[in-house]
Amino acid sequence: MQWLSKNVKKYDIFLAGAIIMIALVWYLINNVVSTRGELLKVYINNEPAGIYPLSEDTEQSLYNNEGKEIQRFIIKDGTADVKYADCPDGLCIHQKPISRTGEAIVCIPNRIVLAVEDKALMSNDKSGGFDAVVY
Amino acid sequence: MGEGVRKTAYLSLFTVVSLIFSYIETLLPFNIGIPGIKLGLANIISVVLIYLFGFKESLIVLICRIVLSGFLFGSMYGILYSFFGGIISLVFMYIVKKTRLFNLLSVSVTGGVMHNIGQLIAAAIIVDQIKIAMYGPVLIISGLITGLIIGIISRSIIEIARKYLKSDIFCG
Repeated sequence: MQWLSKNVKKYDIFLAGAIIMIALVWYLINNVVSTRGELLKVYINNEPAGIYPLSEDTEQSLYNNEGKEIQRFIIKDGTADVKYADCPDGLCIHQKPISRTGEAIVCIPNRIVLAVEDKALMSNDKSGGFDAVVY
Repeated sequence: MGEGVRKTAYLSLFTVVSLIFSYIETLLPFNIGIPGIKLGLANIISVVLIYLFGFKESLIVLICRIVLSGFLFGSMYGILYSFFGGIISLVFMYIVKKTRLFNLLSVSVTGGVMHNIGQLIAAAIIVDQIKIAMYGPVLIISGLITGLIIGIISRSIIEIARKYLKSDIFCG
């Protein structure tokens, strides 16, 4: 405590303030650009691998090329959440369920991204459809 | 014993300690539901070394630690990820320290925040998704908090090291 009162100068306060301000502004921007999403898009290895409407409850598994289950997610009440992953740390299981546009659950080891998007984005996107093959 | 030999010995010791910190971190169930948020115990060594020895020495120990802990407890992606966060954080800590305007806690906080930002950028590049920028604010604030904790611990270690280790090789 004594050290603090002697060593905290105005620049230290400025720095902490600036960091908090940046986080706040970033948060506000997030809230402005994000709305409740309608679609869940799945990417594996940066390739679109499926689109699911958030309005329909479902449970889906993703498989790798050898047919091994690498991830399982559910859609319930408009939010998507990962329930199973075969990677050692399982970070994607602990990530928050997602429901707003721009939110995503990312699995780095398997390079899977689940991203919530607007319906509007889909019309000019030829890369996937509701009958996309999930592999 | 020559200066260079003693320095090498100290740096290897610090590498081992940072490796132990990395290991302890894998044991801690420190997970609050957002990817990439860790206490970053091993960053203590980066802060300590930047103050005791300088940028170059801190960088060497960081690289050794990331490669070793990556092979021991992590994965290839883990190494890539840590490199990005670790080096960006070290560079910014060095710049902030160089200005001489800030105290140790500010240096450490900068390190914590930039570490998380670096990892966010790495993740965005690896999965080619700018969308995870969503996590920015949480990562900044958590970097601030963990940076404070790391700074407090580092300060004690620096004091002890200055007192008990032969100090002719330390800078400043």
